[in-house]
Amino acid sequence: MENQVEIKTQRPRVTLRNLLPEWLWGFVRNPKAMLGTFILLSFVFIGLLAPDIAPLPERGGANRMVGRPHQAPDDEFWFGTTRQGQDVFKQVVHGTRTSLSVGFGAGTIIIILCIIVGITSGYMGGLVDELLSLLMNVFLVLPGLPLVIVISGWVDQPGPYTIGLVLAVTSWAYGARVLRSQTLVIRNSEFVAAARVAGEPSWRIVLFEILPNMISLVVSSWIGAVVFVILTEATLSFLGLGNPNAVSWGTSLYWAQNNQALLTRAWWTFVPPGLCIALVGFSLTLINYGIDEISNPRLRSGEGG
Amino acid sequence: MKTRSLILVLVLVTMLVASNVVNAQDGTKIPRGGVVVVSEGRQAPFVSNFNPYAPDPTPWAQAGVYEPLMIPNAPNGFELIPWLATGYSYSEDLLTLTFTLQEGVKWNDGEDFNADDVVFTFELFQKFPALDRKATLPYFSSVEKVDDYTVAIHLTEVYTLAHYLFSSVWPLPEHAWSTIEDPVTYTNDTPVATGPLATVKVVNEQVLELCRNETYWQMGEDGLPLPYVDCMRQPVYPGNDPANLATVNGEVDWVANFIPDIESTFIAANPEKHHYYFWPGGGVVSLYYNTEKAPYNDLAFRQALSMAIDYESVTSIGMYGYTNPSEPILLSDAFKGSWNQEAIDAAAEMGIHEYDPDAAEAALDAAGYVDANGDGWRDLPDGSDLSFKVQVVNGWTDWVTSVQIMSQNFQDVGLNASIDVLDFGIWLNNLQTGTYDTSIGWGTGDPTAWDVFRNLLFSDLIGDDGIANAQLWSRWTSEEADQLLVDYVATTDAAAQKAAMDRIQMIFVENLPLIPLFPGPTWYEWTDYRFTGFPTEEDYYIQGSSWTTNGQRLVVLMQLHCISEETCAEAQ
Amino acid sequence: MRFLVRRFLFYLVAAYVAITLNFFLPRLMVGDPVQVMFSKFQGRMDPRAVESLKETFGFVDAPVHEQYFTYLKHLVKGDLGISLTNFPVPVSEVISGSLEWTLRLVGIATIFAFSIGMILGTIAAWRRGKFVDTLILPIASILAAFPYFWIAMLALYYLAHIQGWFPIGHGYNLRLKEDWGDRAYVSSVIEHGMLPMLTVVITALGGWMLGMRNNMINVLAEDYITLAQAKGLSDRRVMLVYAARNAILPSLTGFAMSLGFVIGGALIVEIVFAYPGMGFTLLNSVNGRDYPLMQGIFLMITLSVLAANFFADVIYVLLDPRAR
Repeated sequence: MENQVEIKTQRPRVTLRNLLPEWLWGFVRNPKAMLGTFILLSFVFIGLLAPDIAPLPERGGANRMVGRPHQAPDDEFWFGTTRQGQDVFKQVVHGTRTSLSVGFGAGTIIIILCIIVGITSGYMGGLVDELLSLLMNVFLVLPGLPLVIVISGWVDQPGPYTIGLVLAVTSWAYGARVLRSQTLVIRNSEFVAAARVAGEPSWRIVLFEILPNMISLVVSSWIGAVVFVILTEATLSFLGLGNPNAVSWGTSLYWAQNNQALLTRAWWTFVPPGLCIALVGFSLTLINYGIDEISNPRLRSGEGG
Repeated sequence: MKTRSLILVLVLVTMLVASNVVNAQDGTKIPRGGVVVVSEGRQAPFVSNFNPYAPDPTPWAQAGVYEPLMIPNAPNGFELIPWLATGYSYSEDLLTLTFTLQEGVKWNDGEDFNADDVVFTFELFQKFPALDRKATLPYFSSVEKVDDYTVAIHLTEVYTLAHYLFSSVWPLPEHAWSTIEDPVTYTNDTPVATGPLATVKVVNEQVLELCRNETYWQMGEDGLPLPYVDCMRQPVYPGNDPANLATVNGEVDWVANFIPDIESTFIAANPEKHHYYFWPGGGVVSLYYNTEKAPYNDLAFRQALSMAIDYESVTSIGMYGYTNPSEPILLSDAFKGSWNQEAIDAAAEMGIHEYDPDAAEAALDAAGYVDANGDGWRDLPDGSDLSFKVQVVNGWTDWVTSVQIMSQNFQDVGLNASIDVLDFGIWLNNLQTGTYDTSIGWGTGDPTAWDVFRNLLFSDLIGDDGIANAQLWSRWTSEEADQLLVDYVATTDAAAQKAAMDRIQMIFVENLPLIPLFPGPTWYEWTDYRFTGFPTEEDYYIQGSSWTTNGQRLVVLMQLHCISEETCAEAQ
Repeated sequence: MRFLVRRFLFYLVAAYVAITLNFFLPRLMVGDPVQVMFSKFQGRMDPRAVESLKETFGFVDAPVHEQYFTYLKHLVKGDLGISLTNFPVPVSEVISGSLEWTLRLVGIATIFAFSIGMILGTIAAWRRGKFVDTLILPIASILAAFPYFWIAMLALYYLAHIQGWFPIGHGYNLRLKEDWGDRAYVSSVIEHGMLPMLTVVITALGGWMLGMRNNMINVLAEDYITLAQAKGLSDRRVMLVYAARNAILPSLTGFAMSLGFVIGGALIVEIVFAYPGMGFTLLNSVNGRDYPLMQGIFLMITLSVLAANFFADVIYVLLDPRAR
């Protein structure tokens, strides 16, 4: 208990400056964060080195039919072949690239929008809050799914990147609302009141008082957004709303399902892409755990209580 | 003379069909009852609309609740089976088509079905053109009741295949429909109909259940009204997975699902009770190109494309081996009788329609399609870039795979081909307006060889607005073909018709307006846990797929019955 | 009270904006939707028939603002128009049957996932380093990282098809009549809803649980908790009355919104399990470019999200005096 009281008294003066080195130090020492980072980095490397790991044929890319249909994994095709005779290993490796870049790209756009809208709305209050909340609510009720279809009418075929972009533009409202709620709470706290009395300008208060105190929420929202995009892109592709000719984990699952991978027991077309999505998602969740624990040591499991 | 022999043939056909029951049963009493469970793969939720002329009525409204005048028997060369009409004849000048109607047919409210109803139905089309789903309006001027069971249709021009068109309509009850103010928006929730499944039991977002018409006019072996089964139940499956899982589990009796690797899944689950037969008699799926554009206006280029396609892979991988490469003359097995062997031989001589990448490359070289700028892809003869897209419908995965194979084939001979996966509506719109390079597309499958070529070559099908109707999507027409098509339906002389048909096929092979790929397989599986009487591969007395709205499923329905009293009790 | 009235007015405005967007969204589509819609009939039907059908469908060339006012007028009257793919059946009739299934299944599943998540999260925070915290939480987190449809398909294949523990597809045993007074019917509804519900709960649990655990831990460090413990209040009382009540606040915002997403999220459940509902109808309307139906479903989603948000505001105000 003593320990916690001590931290509590430190809290108001936690700033970005003295947080960062601790973060790095804590991060390296945190086993969950390190495991998550290790898994994630492995996938990042696979994505970056895809052309070296799984060289593509000159024409046709990863979707080129190179083997017999539904060959089980062997020396030649490590993950077997699809019903179309495509190399599952090549598809998964090159799909890593697509899925990760879509996930992190769109996830980052989402969190930037969340921060701008959520904190402004929560901190400013009044008319600004009303208007921004209106915007949030409107975006909350816009179902991203039909929007993808509408946009697919503009562009030729909605590839994974288009889907990612649509998701980014339509999916920030949720996080923004969460950040807004948290901002509301922090805004009413003593240290913000103190800063206000001391005459600090609003942007300083937001940047140095509110944001650092929300950093774990922001980071976890960001990671949550990345996971959301990866999962939703896979889901939309799986539903057949994407371009079935793209190379992404979701598209692989779409084809596996269309060829009834489970019924024909061609598990090798169904399991690898699904596992990859889950592993990336899990690694991000682990990192999220780690970050939470570092910014807030009380969260560490096995301590306190 | 002619009329009589025709009717004789029809009677023989009916007897042939009826004989199945006797053979199967050896005189033992046929058990009655049971609910046949039907699946047609992925499906939209059902909404109650038993107006057979609505744009998208509830399934089975068209052949189940209502019935056509005659039913074309696809595996038997589309011979017409008498149904509500017992036969037809043409007048001397070929300008009047007369149907004689079946006597003793009753609507399910007890009223008699007669010539008034048929006349009423055609006149309703004239009053409400939106109801004319069969596009009969351009072909008739008036309909006349000759007597209570004879109807004469006065044609606007000589059209000797008109009996196929006019026999396909579903007559409506005059006494029930004449008072309906707007029959176009009428949803007919409690139908007055003659069909064997005229009683609507349940229709909701999950299931459709139609039950027997107690007063149906056709009698079974036991002298009681058909059908032998009590009801037909069709559950909604939003995806192929649950539909196929239920099918593999043996929960469904009569199936028209696309099941991948059917031998190792559906059949392996119970080789004794599970059966399928994918009759390759559907319309021929083809590669279309816009022949109004370069380079598709160049015959040499079209021929080269036809040599570059690996037809075997398209059918074995794209179509799961469920069909075979088509003949070069576009006619499926259903029209074997109309094949022109000379045209087939001519195609073989030209080397078209045979997978030979080297020959394709040579043909492209010879026609000037060489890589002029060194980017690795062939260019147009004038040196400008050549790249093209192959259109396909999103979600139609067998076609998407076929297109993937073909685009790979084209790339292998140095053509920069890519795939354009489109939403159905946009895909079709592009084909009709001619805003595409190449595309996979269906062909006409019935009811006659004439229809197949008419829908692909007849120049009148391009409207004033530039829309290509039917499947004239490649927009290749010729005066000679037009004339042959007109001549064909202006006579009943079989020899003249054969000559015209032979010549059309030769024109087709010589000009390659599109590349025939494979006849569309018709999905049809069945299980015999509970019911028997289904068409089998050995005795394919009618097309077995349950989605045949032209009425063939009614013929199947007349044969279906429980294997025993026990299975009747089981099938509830 | 004033706060809630203000919020309510605000949601009315939000609803209006959403309704307007709903009108323009389909009209942003490239190409003439009418043309695309009717291209399906072309070749199958006589042009004259297509023309007169178009008129019946109400595709007359009116200026956009006139169409817009007609749309609003009809909405006020509760008239959602006529479905194109189910012509001439009204949209409201197409939707009516499916709405209850969606709300029931995913609504109940979401409430379950939320409640169980809250309880397990609370336990994990309270009994740190013990069973729930070190075993159930990581497992739930891994499950949450899988795509939902992936887990659902495996469950359907293995538990329903191979093991035969659950029925395949549909909301009830189709042999029975829909009748809530009939015991057999009710139990078949429960039986059919079990597996879909289980998969939803399993995959959604991790998020709620982790959120609650972390919030709890933060709250447990607050002075008033220390004070309460110092005063000798029982552990359970401190945990439930003091800590959990405050820790649940951030999750509550999320819960309200996830209720609003029930219809959108239902899509996959319905497709994988052949379960009836709005999600499947939405996918069909989108594939069939059935704008009136699409708009009708959009509207239902819009209203349910707004209602859920208002609901959340009410509860928030009740639980957290600071937000008043």
